[in-house]
Amino acid sequence: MTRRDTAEPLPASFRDPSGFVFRDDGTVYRQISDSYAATYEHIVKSGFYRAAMDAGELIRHEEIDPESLSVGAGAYKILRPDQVPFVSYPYEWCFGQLRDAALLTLALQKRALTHGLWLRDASAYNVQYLGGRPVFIDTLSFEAYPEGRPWGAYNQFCQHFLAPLTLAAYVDIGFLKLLRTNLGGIDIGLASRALPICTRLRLGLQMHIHAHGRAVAKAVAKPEASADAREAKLSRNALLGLVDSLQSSVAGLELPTSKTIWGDYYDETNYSSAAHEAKHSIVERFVARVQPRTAWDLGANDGRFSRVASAAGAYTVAIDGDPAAVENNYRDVRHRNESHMLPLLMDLANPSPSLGWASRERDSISQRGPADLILGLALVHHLAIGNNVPLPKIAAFLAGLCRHLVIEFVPKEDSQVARLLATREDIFDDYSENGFEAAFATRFRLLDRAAVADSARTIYLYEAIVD
Amino acid sequence: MTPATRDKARCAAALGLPLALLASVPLPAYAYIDPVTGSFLFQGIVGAIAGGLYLIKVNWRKLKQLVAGKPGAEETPRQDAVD
Repeated sequence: MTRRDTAEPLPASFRDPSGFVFRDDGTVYRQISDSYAATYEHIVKSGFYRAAMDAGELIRHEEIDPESLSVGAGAYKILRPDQVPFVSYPYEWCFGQLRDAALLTLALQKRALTHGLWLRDASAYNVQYLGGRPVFIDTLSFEAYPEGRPWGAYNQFCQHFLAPLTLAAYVDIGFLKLLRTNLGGIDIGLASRALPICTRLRLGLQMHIHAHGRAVAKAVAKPEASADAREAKLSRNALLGLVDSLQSSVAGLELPTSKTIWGDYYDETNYSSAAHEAKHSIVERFVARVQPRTAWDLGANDGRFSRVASAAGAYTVAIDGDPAAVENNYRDVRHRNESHMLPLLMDLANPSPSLGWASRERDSISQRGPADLILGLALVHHLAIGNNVPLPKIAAFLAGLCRHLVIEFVPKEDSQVARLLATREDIFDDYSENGFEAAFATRFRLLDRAAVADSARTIYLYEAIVD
Repeated sequence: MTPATRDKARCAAALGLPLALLASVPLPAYAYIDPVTGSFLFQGIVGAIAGGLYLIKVNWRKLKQLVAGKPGAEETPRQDAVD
């Protein structure tokens, strides 16, 4: 048996017969099928791949000898793309990340057209974050531009990008959460109904969402529409105009500046600057001891402590549930050109599950682990008291995600915990330093601990016990 | 329409109309029509508008020169300041 028979496509790679993605010995490869061979050669000759890779828009790849992997006959080419250290999904991105992914998709469509090609789909799942920036990963999404045809991915672009971004900008940032349930994007008819009337005064939004939504609904109620659609025409200039108009519409969307729970957390904390500095140096010391290659900072806020890990060379995923905090972090990443930091939006009390076809298309957060190190600073009291999760359950969850853990215990005497308890009955008898240590001792081996000066807090360095 | 009546209308749209439509529209007959169908047809209209605007945008400089009556004149940066 050749190894090709055992090179199973990854669970998300099954929709496109042009090829698939598989993993061999920990490395991800892309197989190009014979059916895409002519298109692939045409694209290579057009110079598009080289130009898009040089511009940093398309993930870099190199062709490798199929024989070196013993993938057997039938595979036209095998590509080894740059490896993505952490796969994230659009429903985990903040507004700015989704908008940048949208603009990247449109820029690639324009670039493709200059090479006589176009994008045959515009899924947000074709984009990943790599080196702090969005990069298009689906190398096989391009084909020769069939002059005169309407863009088949126009509706998909509007559903995956324009509708959620517009709803977030004009109604509520919470609409981005809909992307977790609506993996095909947000229906533009739904978006049109939910958007305020002022969006009809913006030409781009009026066209691409409101009028577009009406046209889609009208066609669904008209059986003869299918035949009409087969004959539909769109000139090259009209297509360029369409893409240009989408670019202006997306680029013009901004979040209203609103105060969220955590957006200005560090300005409202109860830390003294001495406690803050002490905490920083403890985290630095523990990170240096672990020397992680990958780190997840859970409850990262704007990534202040995540940067201790990224500065030490770890590819750091900074996860927080507050859209404003993640937005701020992402802006910093772009502004400082940070390559080792990936801010993500996720509620840790309800983390990303596995989703999609057969519930295997998109990985849960735990399937993407374990991380070499998890930072859980000022986190436990939110889970234990804010969400009523018993300490042993928190320990078990974290032990399944990481090899090492730096975690801060914030006792009831701390004013932040007192604030959480102000509106709750104190049913948390086990919530004490002793209770915390007992719960974590069942899942972790204690390597070190340090009291944070000028505060009642303690930071622990643990190693997960492997069953 | 006041915001309150708009809200009411939205509530009706959100709760009542979909139910009424579900009850009255023979959905299965049209279930085979892909939403992209309408998108294809719509692109003819939106493309005409967006394509026209695009033509104006990419030819803006030429159009400006035409209107200003200076065909062929190259725009050069002003140099009023002393270097």
